[in-house]
Amino acid sequence: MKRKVLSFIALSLLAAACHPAKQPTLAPETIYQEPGVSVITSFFNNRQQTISTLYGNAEALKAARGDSNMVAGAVYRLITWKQKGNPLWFGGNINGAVKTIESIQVSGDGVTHYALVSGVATGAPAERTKFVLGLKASVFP
Amino acid sequence: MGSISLKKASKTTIITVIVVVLMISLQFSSPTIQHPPITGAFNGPDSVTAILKRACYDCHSNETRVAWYHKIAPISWLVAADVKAARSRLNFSQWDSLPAADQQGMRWYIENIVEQGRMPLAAYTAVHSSARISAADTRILKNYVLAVASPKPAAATRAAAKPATPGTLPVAPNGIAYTPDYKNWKVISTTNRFDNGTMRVIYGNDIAVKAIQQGKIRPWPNGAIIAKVVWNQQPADQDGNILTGDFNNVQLMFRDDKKFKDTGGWGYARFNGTALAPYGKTPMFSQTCASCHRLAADNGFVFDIPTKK
Repeated sequence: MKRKVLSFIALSLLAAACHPAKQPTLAPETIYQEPGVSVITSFFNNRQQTISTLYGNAEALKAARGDSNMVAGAVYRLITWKQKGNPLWFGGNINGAVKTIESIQVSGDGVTHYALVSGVATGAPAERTKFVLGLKASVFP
Repeated sequence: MGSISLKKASKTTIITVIVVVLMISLQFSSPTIQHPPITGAFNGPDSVTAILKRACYDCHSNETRVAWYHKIAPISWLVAADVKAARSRLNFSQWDSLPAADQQGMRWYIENIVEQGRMPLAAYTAVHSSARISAADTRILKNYVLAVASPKPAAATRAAAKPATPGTLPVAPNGIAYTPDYKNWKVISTTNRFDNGTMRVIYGNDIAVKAIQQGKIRPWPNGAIIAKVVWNQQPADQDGNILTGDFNNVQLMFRDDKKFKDTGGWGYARFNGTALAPYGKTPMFSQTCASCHRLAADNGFVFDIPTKK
C-alpha cells in the first residue's frame, strides 16, 4: 500500500510535468498557393472520399455570387484532395494529399476552356465545366 | 563521543516528533470528499455506463469511491482538489443539467480524450488498474458516439451570398476583434465534421503558413493567426457531393505567448451567425476553447493543419 501511495504521488507529479511529445510530419505541399484567386466555395464527397475547394478570380467570384455563370474573364481553379480522418479528432475529416487540379477560363466570347492541370480526369471536360460553373458561392460574412 | 551521539539522537527525536505532530495536525485540516445527491445521471447504454463508472466516476461524479489512504493528508488534499476540479469540468451525476447540444459535444470530447490516452490520468490508473480503458472499451465508446450522432443537415438551399458590409467590427470578451482580412490569406486546410454536421475552410496568415512550411509549430511564432469559417452541410446531391449550407460562424486564433499566456499562448474568439455575434459572456469563455484544444497539443494546439499521417 505504501508503494501504491508513493507511486500515486510520483506519477501525479510526472503527469503534471510532461506529456509525450510527438509532432506529426507536416504536409505544406497540400496548401494551394496562387496569387489573385480566393475561395468561392468548398464541398466534399464521402463516396469518393474527397474534399474540394473552388477558387476563382474576382470575375469568377462575382459570377458565383450572382445568377449568371458566364462572366467573361472568369478564372476558376478546383482543387480536390483525398479525404482522411483528422488524426487529432475522431468526428472530423480533413484534406490529405492533392488528387486533382482543374482549371476553367471563360473568354470574352463566352467560350469556356477546361484544363486538367494535374491528376487523373474524373469526367469529360464539358461535364466538369458545367459542374464547376454551376457551383454557387458559399455565404461569407 | 557520548554527548555527540546523544545530541544526534535528540536531534533525530526532535525532527521525528515535529514531523509526527505536523502530520497529526495536518489531519485536522484534511478535507472530506462530499457526496452530493445525483440530480440527473448520465443515461447511456449499460456497456458505456459501465466503462464510465469504472474509469471516470471517481473524479467526475458524486459517486466517488473513497479508499482509506485518500483520507490521509497530504494525499487527501491532492485527491479532494482533483475531484473538485474534475466535477467542475464534467459531472456525470449532473449530466442532465447540460443542454442537449453540450451533451452531444461532450460525448465526442470524452471519446477523443480517452482515445488519445489523456484520460483517465496515468497517475490515477497506476493506482487504480481497474480504471484502465482497453482497446475494446474504446471501440464501444466509438460505436456509441457514432450511434447517437444526429447532425441535422441544413436546408437544401442557402441564403444569397452577400459581401461583408463594413461597419464596427465585433469584439470578443477577451478583446479579440473580428477581422475580414482572412479572405486574402491562404487556405491551410478544408475539413468537415460528421459529429456536428458542419464543414470548414481554414485560413492562415503569412506567419502561420511560413511556420507550417518550416515545420516550426511547437510553439507557433507570435503573430500567427488562424481563421476558420464554418458552414452547415447541405444534404448530399445525387452524386454524393455535400455543399455548404447556411453560414454558421467564424473562429479566430491569435498567437501571442505573453498576452494569452493563460490559454496556452493562443487567444480564441468565435463570431456566430451572419451578425457575427461574439461568443462568450466573459473572458473566461476562452478557457473552454483552450481546454478542448489541448487535444491538439501535438500540433501546437491547432487541430486543422495539413499532416502526412
